[in-house]
Amino acid sequence: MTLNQRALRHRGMIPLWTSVLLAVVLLIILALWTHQSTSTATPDGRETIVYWGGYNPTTGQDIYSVINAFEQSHPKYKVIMGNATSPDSAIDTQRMLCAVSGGVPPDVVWFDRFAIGEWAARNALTDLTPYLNSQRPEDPYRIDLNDYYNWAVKETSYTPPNSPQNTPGIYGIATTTDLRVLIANSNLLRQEGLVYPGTTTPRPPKTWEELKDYALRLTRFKRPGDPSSGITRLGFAPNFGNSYLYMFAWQAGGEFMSPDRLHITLDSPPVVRALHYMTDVYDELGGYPHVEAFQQSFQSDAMDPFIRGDVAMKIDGAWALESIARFDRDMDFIVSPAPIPADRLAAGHEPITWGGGFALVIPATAKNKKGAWELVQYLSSRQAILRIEQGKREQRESEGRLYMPVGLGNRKIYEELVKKYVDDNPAMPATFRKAFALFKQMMPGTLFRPVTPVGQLLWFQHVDAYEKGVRHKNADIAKAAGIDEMQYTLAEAQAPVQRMLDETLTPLPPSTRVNWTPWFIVYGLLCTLPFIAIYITYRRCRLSHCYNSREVLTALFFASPWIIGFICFVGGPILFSAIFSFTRYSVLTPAHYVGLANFRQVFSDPLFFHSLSNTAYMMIRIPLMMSLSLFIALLLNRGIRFLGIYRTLCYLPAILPIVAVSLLWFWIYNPNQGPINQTLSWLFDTRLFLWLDQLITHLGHYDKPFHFTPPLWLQDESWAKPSLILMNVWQSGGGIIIWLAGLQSIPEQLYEAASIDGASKFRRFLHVTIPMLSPYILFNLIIGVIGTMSIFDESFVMTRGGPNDATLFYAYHLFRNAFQFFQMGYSSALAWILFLIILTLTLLQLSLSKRWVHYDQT
Amino acid sequence: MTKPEQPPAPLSRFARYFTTTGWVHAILLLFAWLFFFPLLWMAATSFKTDEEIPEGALLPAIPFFHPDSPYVRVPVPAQRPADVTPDRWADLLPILTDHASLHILAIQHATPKLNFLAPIDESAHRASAAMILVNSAVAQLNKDLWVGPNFTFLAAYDALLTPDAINSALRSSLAALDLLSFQLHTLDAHLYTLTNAPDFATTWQVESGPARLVPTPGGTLLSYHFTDSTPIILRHSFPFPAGVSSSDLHKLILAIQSDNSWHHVDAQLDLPDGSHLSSTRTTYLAQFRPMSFLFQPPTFDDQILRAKDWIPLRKNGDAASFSFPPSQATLRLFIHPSSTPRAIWGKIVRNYLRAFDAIPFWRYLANSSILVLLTTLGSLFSASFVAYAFARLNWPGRSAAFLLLLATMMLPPQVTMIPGFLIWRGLHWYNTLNPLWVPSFFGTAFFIFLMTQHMRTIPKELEEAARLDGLSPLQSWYYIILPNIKPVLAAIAILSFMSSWNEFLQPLIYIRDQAKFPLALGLYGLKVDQLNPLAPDWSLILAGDVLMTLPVLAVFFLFQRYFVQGMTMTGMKG
Repeated sequence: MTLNQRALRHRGMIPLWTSVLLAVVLLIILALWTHQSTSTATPDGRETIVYWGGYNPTTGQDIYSVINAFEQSHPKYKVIMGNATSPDSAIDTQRMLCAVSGGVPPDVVWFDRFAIGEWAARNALTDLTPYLNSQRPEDPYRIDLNDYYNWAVKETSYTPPNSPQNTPGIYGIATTTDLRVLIANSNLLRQEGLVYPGTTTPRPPKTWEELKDYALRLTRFKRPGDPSSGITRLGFAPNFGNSYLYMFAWQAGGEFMSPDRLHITLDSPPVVRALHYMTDVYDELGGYPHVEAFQQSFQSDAMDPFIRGDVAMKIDGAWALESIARFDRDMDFIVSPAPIPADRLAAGHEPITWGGGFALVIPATAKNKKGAWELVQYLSSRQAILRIEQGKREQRESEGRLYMPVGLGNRKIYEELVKKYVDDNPAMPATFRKAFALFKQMMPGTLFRPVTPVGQLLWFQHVDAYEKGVRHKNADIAKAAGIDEMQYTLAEAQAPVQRMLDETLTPLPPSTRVNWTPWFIVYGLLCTLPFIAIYITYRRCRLSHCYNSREVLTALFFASPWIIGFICFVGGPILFSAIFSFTRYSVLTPAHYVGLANFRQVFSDPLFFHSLSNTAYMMIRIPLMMSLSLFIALLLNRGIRFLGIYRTLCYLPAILPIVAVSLLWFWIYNPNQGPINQTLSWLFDTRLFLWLDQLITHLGHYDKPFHFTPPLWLQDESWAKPSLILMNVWQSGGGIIIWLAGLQSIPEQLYEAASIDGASKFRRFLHVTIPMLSPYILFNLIIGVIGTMSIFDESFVMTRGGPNDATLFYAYHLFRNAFQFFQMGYSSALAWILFLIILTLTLLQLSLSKRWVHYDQT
Repeated sequence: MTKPEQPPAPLSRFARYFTTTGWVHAILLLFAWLFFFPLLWMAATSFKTDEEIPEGALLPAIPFFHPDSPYVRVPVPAQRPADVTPDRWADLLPILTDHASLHILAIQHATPKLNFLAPIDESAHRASAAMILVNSAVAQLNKDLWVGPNFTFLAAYDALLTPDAINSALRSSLAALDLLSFQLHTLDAHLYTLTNAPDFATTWQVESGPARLVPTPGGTLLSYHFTDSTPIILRHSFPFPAGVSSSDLHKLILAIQSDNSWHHVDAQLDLPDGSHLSSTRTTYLAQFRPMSFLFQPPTFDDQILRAKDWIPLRKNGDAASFSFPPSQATLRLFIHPSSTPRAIWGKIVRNYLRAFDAIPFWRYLANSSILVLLTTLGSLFSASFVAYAFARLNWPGRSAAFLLLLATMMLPPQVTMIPGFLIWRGLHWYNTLNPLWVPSFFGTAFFIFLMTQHMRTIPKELEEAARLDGLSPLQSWYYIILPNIKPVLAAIAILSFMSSWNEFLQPLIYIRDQAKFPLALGLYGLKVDQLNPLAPDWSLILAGDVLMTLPVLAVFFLFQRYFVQGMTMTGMKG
């Protein structure tokens, strides 16, 4: 047959060269289009200021009007609005770290004040003191820090703890703030008779002791008086809302760092006392897991239990009013300062609150610092803030929502806003007015989290200690050692923070600083070595004709896209991450070699083993997902009607946006309202299960009658991982199309031949389908192991590693180290250990596969 | 098992159908329902209003035609406090309701009737108000009173039925269209109040249509009675405040209390400078709550990528000369009656229109489309091309290279992110779409691996024959291999379409300008935008998610037929 004849046999196809030409033309057009649509606007002679903070919930849409007004009053600047800042600083950190280390930092950033200590300690932010001091008195946009709440200024100030310098640098200008108060449902207090004598005015608790008493009196259980039967209404739980151990520790007079900020004091007596108090309240309410199950069953404000009257009191941020205003603005509630211990109240201490918020900062490497400072000044000015707030008011009201002013670091403007929009607004319900009166009164004395290079780790460890404490995780160890349980827990949580603080404060000698240049040469050599190896192998083999030179060249030609891509984009980062693993590297400061220190640290890190075993546990999902998707694929591979619709529907779970899916599963797993537990509780109350209860009680000789109870799913340490696996199995639709592709390539004649031989359906499946699918099975196994070992999204999007680190997966652990604790070096060491584990598993699978995988290449 | 030669008894048609294909349908329907449910949930939630979200029902309420306003709202159910036994509650509820009704009746008699166009049914109004009153009073009672004697209980209860509480209950049980205030906002951010609530009755006019402005204690409401589709035209002529000219106008703000009638509203504005503007977006009288209309002529706001939360007014010829004395502006509101289907339609599209206005949807869609197209093309090309080298050709180092390929998937991407960023930055491709699609042309390990596994199953003889025919490797790849890998190409097309469509982190890091955002990142704006992060606008977010999902569904539906075609296309007949 000639070439022409051959081509005729493929009449249906476009000739090769035509399609190559078409593809190239199409590609050029598209690439030009993207290039055009992505090239930045032509310069118009103005200096640019890059502002990250664009629209966000606290500025609202009128930030654009304000920026427009800024450009008009400062004609030499052009402001480029950066991305929407996500409400999650963890995502933002990745973006910030990339931009800063890549030399394309923004000029002004709307930044979480909580993170200022960490960034300022690593010299990543500009000290604004010189700018503040050089302001002319007649400057219309002059920033006067005396107008600001003292604490909001302190939260943006940092000085290294061991430095002789006394006046700290100011690294940001505070924008918004929040604070925490006790919010109570007035009617529930009235029903319980918790009112001022002789009136119907509800009386808020003033002391810890009263608070606990209120909590117990207002709580209702499914079976009255039996905490184990489940909570139907929660009076109060220490951490429902937003208070954390920080709040209670401050109430007890505690601090988290010594005054010189060199020592973590998480295990000091007042903090221990606070944790004891929180635990006691939980224990008396029936134990932390029960309360947690109840409080976590409300994942979104759409079903805010406080508004529904399912929770009587909570300590929460001022923002909680926002949701009351939105869903039930007529609700009767009172706001009061959170109670403090009775002895401290008697000793004359005032109730306290703690707050946080945002600030405008200028990165140390910003290109246009002068313009940035002018923008900061403008955005902090009264006119800009009033304009933003007016815009927010109009927007809220156009959507039928109540507008309330946001808390501000600038006291003068905040009080003006409260007067204008709350006190003088006849449409504002009286409940909200009273709340704002209290906010105004408490704002000046607000406490804030310590400004330290290890703030994030301290926060995580404090949450961890709280979770362990209220669950009595260390009760046995502490008892055996004869020390206080909470003291032990807090001391344990404090150790890593102290270590990291010491480490951060002791600089490494300059001689250990990494010089990157030689590594580029190493990389160049590493890239050429394989080609030399290929050539040598080829030469050696030539005589025995194991390789055909034409074929080798053809192969390199076909593989070239990947080879080029690997050398240019993939290999380099891999090598560099390997080098990181031998350094101490925070990304913001230069890397220093530390030898094997990171790897030594891995094996003393309890979370390393914990997260690794969590990850290994998830392996269970691989066979489940594979078999379900194969089963569905087999059904879908039949010639039946509506196939297209079935296929599309079965694939649906894989294409839905993860945020929507996680919302849905939160609802499905909801321990109280979720459909699964609704069904289970109905089932467990049927006669059969009641009889089984009795039987088990009888056989098991329990001291308490046994009763089947539905699991708490994502809120239960032992059920959290199975819950995620169940969700993954539901999502396994993505696998279906790979199986289908495989099933389609099995030649029909094999089945025909088998049925002629009298093979049953099952035997045909076993002896035709399975062997023919074996390459796909291997593919799914290898991909499944890789995907499971680096599982990340589930803990990142859904559980944040909780409850009590039960879903802290390995990749999430290393992510937290890299981007939240600024330990890129340690994180890389973790990554390479994971790499070695996965590589071993894969090699094992590949070597075993030779026995069972069937390729048509005999 | 082999079929029996002669079936013992003829099966019914249904049984035969069930044993052959019916059971497959049954199982598939079950799975389809399990998998379809979330989409249903998303869609249903995306139609809801703020008021319905906390109720927790799966499906949104269906709006229906309301000819009259004000009208009496459906009574709310009575809520038993947690500490009251059901028996006691059943005994007392009728008494409580009666007491409430009696108190309301007294107030109703004492207050003068308002001159509504369609009189409201007073007893229905009383019944509806009574339930609100019962609920609000009962919630305040001490739990001990319930177990005590009836007279102390009722004395405490009656004490709560104050005139204020009754008036508030009467107000809440009536849906009415109250006019609250009318303000003018200038471009330099000055706010002028033009009309206060009580003044509407005197300064605004019903130009035509079945309606009347009724003064109420402290305010004004619009009473109407629709009999046909004639709209109500509400007119207000007003002078601009001193020193404000037509070109200073930023927006007009009309605050109302909506009556949940789902009637639709349009507007026209004649300015003192002689221009005539009409609204280009229809709004609905949704929900029972205070809200406001923002009417805005073209301003700088239209030039930027902000949420368009106002009703745009567009120039529409010059004003009719007779309608106003010079230096006055005239606003006309057209309230069109919504029939039941129209109201339903209005509710269905409402959140979607909000989503389109909240973000520059079409621009994001264009960015996403081009990215997805390039990525998919790149993945298809590179996977089929590179896999050919791994699966079909023999060369030294192949296994090592293959292992290296797999190994690139094994290192967690978190630690290579920053060096990777530096490379793209070095190419000056920061803030362009290039880092998002270029890599796909160099091959993705996952797709190359999948393709290699598939190519290995294609019989060698096919290519041997081609080689004898004198086809070059490139021709053999194109003419022999490509037709045989169509099912996998389809799978790769879908998978790469989806991953690039949903990609979030990469664009977040590489793209700075909002105008270049792809849809996944742009829609994230809906989540952070609008409101407090702790009271997210769920219906808007889910409307965005549905919009995000539909194109993928469509593409999948179109591509999936290749899985069937693949069977007949494979040239494995010999």
